[in-house]
Amino acid sequence: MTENFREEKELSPVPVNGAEPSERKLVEAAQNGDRAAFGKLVRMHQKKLFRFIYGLVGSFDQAEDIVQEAFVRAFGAIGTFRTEYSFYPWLSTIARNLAYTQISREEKKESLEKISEKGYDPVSTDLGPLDQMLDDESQRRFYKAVMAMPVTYRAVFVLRHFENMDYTEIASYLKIPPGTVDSRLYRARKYLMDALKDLL
Amino acid sequence: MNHEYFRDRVSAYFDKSLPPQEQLAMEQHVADCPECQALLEKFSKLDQLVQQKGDLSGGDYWEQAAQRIEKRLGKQEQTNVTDISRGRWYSGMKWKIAAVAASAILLIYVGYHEHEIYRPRPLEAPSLPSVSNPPTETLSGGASQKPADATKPVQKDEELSQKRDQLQPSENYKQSTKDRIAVKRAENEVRAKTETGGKQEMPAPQPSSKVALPPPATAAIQQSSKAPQVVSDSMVAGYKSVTEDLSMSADAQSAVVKAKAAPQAVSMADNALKRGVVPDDSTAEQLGSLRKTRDSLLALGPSTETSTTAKLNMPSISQGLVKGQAKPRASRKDDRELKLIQTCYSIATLTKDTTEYNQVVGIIEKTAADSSSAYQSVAASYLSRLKRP
Repeated sequence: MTENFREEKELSPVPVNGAEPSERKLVEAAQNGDRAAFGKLVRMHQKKLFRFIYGLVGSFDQAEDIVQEAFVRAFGAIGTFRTEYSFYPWLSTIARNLAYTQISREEKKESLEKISEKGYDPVSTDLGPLDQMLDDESQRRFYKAVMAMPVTYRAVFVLRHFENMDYTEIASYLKIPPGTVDSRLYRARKYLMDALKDLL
Repeated sequence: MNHEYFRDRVSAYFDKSLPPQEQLAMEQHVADCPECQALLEKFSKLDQLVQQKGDLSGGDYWEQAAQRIEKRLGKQEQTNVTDISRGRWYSGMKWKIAAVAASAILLIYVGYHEHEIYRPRPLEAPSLPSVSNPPTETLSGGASQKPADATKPVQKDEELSQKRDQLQPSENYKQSTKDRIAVKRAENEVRAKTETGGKQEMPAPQPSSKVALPPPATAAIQQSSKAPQVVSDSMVAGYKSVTEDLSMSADAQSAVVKAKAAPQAVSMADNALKRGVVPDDSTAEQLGSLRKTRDSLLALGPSTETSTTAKLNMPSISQGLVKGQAKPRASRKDDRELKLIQTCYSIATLTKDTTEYNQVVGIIEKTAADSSSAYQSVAASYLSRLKRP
């Protein structure tokens, strides 16, 4: 269970220019209108995608809406998708752009403000519906610390650690220089190291 | 390079995002720096923690979320949405190509039909009233003088119009003040030459001036007595040369004397008219435009209306303006008043209708009699030009 993330990465590595045969078949079936096949793709990727988007926007409801919208748009555009590529990066890009629009619309408010509007208190204990998806207290502490980070640091951290993007990709997505990516990621890691030093 | 330089790059070094030379330099530094080594170790543990604690469980939630998505897909048909990440290079290009093609077609059409679309209007005679005279009234000298002079102006007008057409016409129908002055100066020269030379031909127009050739001298002199707009210093100088000629009529001489005697009133009226709206069209079109202007101004300003003008057929839009018109500011009322007497003066110089002539003169007289009006003197100067000696 705790190694799910790593196992997922090892069992289903993403080739640079290729998709796994099972995923490729599902995508091709979805392109032919098979909604059940697309439903399998949803179940395959929604958790990872939600974690990433939640880390970006800092709001459970917004992340839910964005993930749902991303899948709907992906299904609408599935006919244009080239099956030789991996499905998740394409899906993630759709969701990322939606999230960036959301973030830009709110003028990159601090995560604390957004969570406060939703009635969550990151300093206390309640993570809202996300709490039901966490298994233990250490996981809760981890997500609390991540959500408590300033949004500028958190965005870089999530893109690097949840989506495995390199500095150039992060800089391009957030429209900041690579040097800024470096400094923000350094500060994000320092912040978490201080908040979770007893877990390290 | 000091330690701070390397410490700031530990994070990038950990992610292997440094350029090769810097990556190598960092390796060498880290091998000898305990602080950086400790920092790298912490980064490594943090990365492991993220991998351990980052995953989410919540089995039922995900299944419900997937069902919600499927339900939403059921309501939506598959559409050809443009792929935003790895879409084909030509996605959306068809619209761009269509837009470029439409623009090209439009440009070609405009270029091909440019001469029709941007047809320049031939240069008209300057804003001086050319041949229209006050109804039934003539200058002193009687009606006999008119027929004798009528043929010459017509012939010369035809020659002038032909020569005018040869000029490159100005695309700007509203001639600037400079153009008007240049026109008047050209008229002076021509008039001087015509009067002294008798049957001499009109001088060749200067291509750079882009102005109309002046009318014959006699008509111009008659006109000058009515059009203060053209009575500038250059015109006064031109009149000087003309008055020296004994063939000049007494009326024209008196007009010149008047012009020389009241430079201030002339310049004021000149400036007022320059600001006025006197379109440079043919006489009929000019009159029509002036009448519309007059009617709209009368509709806005009841203080300047006369009993006769109230009978004029005002358009419905002017009535709408009267209804919804807010109380004007004093400056706008003055502007309207000035514009009205300017318009009435222009109509008086152009119209052949006695009734209309009397109407517009009456409006000017009203302003001239109004001591509270800012343009009383302007109106008086207009009247002095309209009055027959």
